[in-house]
Amino acid sequence: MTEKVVISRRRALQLFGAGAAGMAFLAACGKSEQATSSSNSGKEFHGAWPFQVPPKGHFHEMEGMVDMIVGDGPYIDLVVLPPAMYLWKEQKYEGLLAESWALDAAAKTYTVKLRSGLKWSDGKPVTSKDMVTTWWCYRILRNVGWNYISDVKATDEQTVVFTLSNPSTVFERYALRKQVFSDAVYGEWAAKAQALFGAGKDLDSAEGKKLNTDFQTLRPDDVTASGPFKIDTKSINNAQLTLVKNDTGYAADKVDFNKIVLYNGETPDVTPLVLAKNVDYATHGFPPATVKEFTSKGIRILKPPVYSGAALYINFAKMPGFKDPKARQALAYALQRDQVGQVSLGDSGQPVKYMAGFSDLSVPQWLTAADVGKLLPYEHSEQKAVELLTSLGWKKEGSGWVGADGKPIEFEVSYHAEYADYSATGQNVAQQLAAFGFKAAGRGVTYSQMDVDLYKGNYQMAIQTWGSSKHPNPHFAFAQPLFTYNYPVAANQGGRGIDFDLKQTTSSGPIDFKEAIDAAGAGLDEAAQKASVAKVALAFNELLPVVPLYERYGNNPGLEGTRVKAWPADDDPIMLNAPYADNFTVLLMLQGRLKAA
Amino acid sequence: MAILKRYAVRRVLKALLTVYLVATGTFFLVRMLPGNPVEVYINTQMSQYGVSYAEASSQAAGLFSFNPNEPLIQQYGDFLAGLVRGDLGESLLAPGTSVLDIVFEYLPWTLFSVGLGVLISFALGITLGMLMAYWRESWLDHALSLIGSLLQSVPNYLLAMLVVVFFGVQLEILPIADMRGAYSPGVTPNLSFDFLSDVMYHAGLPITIYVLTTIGGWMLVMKSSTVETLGEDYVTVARARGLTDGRIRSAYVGRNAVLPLVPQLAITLGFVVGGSILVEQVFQYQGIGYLLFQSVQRRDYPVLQGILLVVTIAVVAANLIADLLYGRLDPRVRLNGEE
Repeated sequence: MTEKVVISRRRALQLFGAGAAGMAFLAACGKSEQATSSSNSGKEFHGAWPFQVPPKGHFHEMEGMVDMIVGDGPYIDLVVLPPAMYLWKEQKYEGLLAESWALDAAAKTYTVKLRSGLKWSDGKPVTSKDMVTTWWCYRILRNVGWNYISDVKATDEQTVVFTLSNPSTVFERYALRKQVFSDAVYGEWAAKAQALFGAGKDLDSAEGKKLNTDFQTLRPDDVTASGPFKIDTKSINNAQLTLVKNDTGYAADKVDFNKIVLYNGETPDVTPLVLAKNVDYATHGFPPATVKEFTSKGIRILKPPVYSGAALYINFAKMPGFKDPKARQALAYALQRDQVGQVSLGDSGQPVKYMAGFSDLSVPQWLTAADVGKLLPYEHSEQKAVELLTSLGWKKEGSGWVGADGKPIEFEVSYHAEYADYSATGQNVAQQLAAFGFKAAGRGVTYSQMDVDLYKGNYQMAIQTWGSSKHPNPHFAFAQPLFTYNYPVAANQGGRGIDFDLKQTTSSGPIDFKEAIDAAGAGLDEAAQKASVAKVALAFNELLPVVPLYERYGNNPGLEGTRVKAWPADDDPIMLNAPYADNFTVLLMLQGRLKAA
Repeated sequence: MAILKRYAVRRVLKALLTVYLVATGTFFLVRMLPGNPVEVYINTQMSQYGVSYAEASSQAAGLFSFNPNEPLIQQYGDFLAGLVRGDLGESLLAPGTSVLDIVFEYLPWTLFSVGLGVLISFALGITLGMLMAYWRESWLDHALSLIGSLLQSVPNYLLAMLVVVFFGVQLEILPIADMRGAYSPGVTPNLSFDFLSDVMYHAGLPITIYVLTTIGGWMLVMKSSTVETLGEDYVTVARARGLTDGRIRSAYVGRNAVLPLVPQLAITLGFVVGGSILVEQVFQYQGIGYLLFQSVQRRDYPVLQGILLVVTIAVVAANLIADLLYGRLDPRVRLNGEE
């Protein structure tokens, strides 16, 4: 017979009392003795990056997966190496796993030769089989690199040959910059992929879909590392994780740090840690006020170029008055781009100089001096703006502009409400244009809806990104406003984006933007690519399909003298590396140039 | 007894109906959020990582088995079928990982930190509330009333941020980097004192915030309830019988004054998850609120639904328990036979 439990008032109150007393006792407790020490006695480096913890977070770190523990950030390059990383100033690759690489235009092949003598953290040698395996696995994940090749083969222990189906110099970046994973972990999946595609099937077949689904559920226990660090799996919690030295990895002898602590979190979560000097380096987008606070605490702000920025996008379907390029040129003259940049990002928002459709830093590399001289700088001039608009038959009535049809020019400038920089940009642009005489107002839209609206054309004017921070080739920068947020890609989302006709006429003659932009990234002839880039850049500068406002530079806090001795001077070539593409801090570590304090 | 059983069955059925209705409501509401998971993924890749549209959409095609164009009614049917089997599905962003596994990885931390915070707040609040009632109009009453009102009016996330900024960054009293998370890196969860002590070290700040931001309410309600009880006839009779003040306070006043607060406590415990979202984010504490925040941002529908379902069940269960328990705690209700 069971004893009857009676819940009396006395018992209930006793429970609460006991709880409070227990709490008081436990509150006196402290950090575990087992806990990893956070002192810098062991040459630690403290970074920050948002990640998920298991069971969501996992070690299937291949590009294209989601919720990888470090796979989507710069620090994966210290654990699983790519064949090479790009030096943006020198415009050349620095070999890591790869010793050499070459394009054979005649044979339409791209060959990568891996270094010999490298080892994985499980002791196995790094060979060409690892790279071939990796690429077959990328194919399961529909990686875009396979749009350029038809096959990948190992011709000896260290040599990998790609057969190009769509020859382009753009493929070089895919071949050299993508991580190479261990065959010991991924070999069986590569074999399955080869069997699937060898049988003439694709990923849309039932077998292909199953392979894709099964592959995504793969959850390795650890990451087999080829770099100087490996993940200490026991160190992971949702606050931080630790990378420890992988003594057999590439450059392990050069890297001056023994341990990397990565604090988990987005910008607001990481800000107090940076202020408290717990973080040595962070790539997050800190707002100007926060950056000012960092500076006041003696934290150096590193300003690497991001090769992209914010532009004013016009929905021509809703604002037909701006279809005439003169109206857009007037906008460019009316806006003080330096003010927009300063308000949005402080010193990290530099006004666009060349208005060529891709980064100012890359313009001299792709355009001849003569072509650069043809680019209009659109320096702020209200007078020029007024002249251009007046020439269109627009006039000012009272303090406001009316179009040739007598209707007032009014519009909203939409922006991502949650993005501190784009919010400031949108508001400032609206204010400046209102002061100029347009009936303009800013409108914050939640970030997830904003992108949908941009595709579907549910806006009048909007702030969105221009440029490309991942690929050095300007083809990708041009594609962003003219393909992605215009009808060629927006059609996938059921809209027409900015609805800018890609067949236009400039003072030099007609241009088909689609054809010219594709040509800028196609083929193996760099001279021909440069000619196409120049053609698009000059047309872009004259027609201004979008109005670039500022180019973003990172505002990466770099704490010197605590755990890191110092970063190189701002004018060091490596500081021109794009932090989200070929991170300079990672490269400095691999080169042994970043020293512990 | 028969009345009690009928009452209990009725309440349980009502609770099940509530859970079903809320689950259905949340199913449709989460799908009305702007941007589906595929769109959010593509846009995030482009805006945050500078990936081209071609690459991002290609990756999305390889990643998501979720079809946003599948008829909503079919998705709903699948959801209900899974619900009946106790299967909440898999995360869209972590294929192969069940929603229940994810939720149960995070939920205990929230139950622990917020639950303990509420209990401490309740215990301290009713004690201070009684003191305020006994010494009403004294300096103690005025001071505690002011503090209670102030604390009650400050949102918990704001207080959490202030603690981090002032005590962690400006004054450098708190080691905020060390205190983040649910336990220290390198610590293996087990039942040792070392682990429990470490857990308390990390839960200390969230619990303190929960206590500070809820204690004011308990104090003020307890004060008014005690004042009302002090005017009851049986208290006057007890005094007339010559009972000591201590005896009257504990056996007559305290016990009766706290009764109206018990159902409120049960309901508050049910809402623990909702109150923790931003505090867990600020302290990077591995709780369900932290998970909810991330799932909303990334439109992970199954995880989002799973969390909201757990929250609903918690609130409904807490209400049910409060209803059933109240009759046990208050003999007057039992005697009326209407529990």
